[in-house]
Amino acid sequence: MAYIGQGIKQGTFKVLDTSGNTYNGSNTTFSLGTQVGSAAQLLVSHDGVIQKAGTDYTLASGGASITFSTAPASGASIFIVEISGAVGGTVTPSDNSVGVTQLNLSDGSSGQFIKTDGSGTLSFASVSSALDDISTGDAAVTLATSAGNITIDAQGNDTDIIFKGTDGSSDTTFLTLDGSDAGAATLNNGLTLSDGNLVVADGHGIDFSATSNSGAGSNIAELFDDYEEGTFTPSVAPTSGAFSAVGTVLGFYTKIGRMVHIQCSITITNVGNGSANMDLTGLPFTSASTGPVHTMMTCARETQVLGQNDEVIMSRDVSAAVILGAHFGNGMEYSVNFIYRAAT
Amino acid sequence: MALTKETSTIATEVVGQYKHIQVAEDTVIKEDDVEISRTRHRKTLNCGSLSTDGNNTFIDTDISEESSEVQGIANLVWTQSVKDAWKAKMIADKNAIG
Repeated sequence: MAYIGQGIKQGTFKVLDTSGNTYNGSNTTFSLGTQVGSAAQLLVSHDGVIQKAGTDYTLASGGASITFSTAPASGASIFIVEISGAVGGTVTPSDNSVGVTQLNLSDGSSGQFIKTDGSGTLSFASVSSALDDISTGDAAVTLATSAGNITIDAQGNDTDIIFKGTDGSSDTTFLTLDGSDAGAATLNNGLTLSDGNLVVADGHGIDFSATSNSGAGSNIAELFDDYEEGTFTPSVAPTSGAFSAVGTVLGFYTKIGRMVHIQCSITITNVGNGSANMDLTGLPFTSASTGPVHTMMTCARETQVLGQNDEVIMSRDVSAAVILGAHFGNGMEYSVNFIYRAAT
Repeated sequence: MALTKETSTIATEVVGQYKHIQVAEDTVIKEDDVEISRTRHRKTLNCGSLSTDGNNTFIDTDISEESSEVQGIANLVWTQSVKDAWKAKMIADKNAIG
């Protein structure tokens, strides 16, 4: 029979398929074959009598079943029409009742989100992981992981990693890691270590060439590449004869760049037939000297036997110093203090 | 609390035409395996010295107390030609200084 009057403005009517339900006079709850949001959304006919929502029946199973207040008799004739969507109004689904099956799209995979094509078609899609798709935020952000490393990887050939900020309203590059120079770092302003050491790789140091003190000489070294302090055990012997007994020998050194500062304490217990000058060998670093270096001198102080005398020390060769005109005597103590230039 | 002391050679270098051997040893004091002190001791070994009896006889450096590594290096680099050159230099230096 043709519909009389105006057509519905919104929504649809749908006769639910309840053919699988069996009415036996005892069962009261039956599947609707779909899920509805409200009992009033159903038009229920029981043997030709319209049932009253909330009185004659209620919804069960989150809207997927209907429960009659009185069990339909065996062979009862029941049909149910779902009034889907609002007719002249708004239908509010019950809480937690809308799933993928209620939406006009196919399910996606885990982790995907629903997007629109701008023309009303919904679909599932994956979140874009391209870093350059992320735009500027407007609040503080923390990059954090609960485990594992955080790696910033500039994979483009020779591309830099740049840390920027705004200092006093001025866009400023704070740090650049040069991808074309093995990651050489350029800090915009200063470096402060709160703890720990500044560790310099072997063969490298602190380059002072920016001071331009080297003048025109390109061979002037302005790289401070070594510092070390420690001990050594000097050996002493006269350049003529031999000592019968040598007592305590202590040596300390500090090397700054190629300059080595030596402090020694030497006791000659029994001078024997030693005479002339005195060799001091066992230096901690080989001297740069290739011959006698008369400018490399300082003093040695002798005590105990002969009072105090200042003597001149010269380099004898690349691994020894010689104390010229040393005064010898049993029990003599030397405090030796001099500087020489190391070979490297 | 356990204190331990370890001594290890951290550098052995051969320097210059006379093949001087520089040896650096570190002595590390640890408390429960945590380093609390480190000191460095160095020495330089040359291949020999001159006698002081006026004859300038070349005396080979006694390396019997040195580590096997140092002995191995010394035996390799302290060739007779190196010793001869070193002896000549020592005599020249001695004559120059007096």
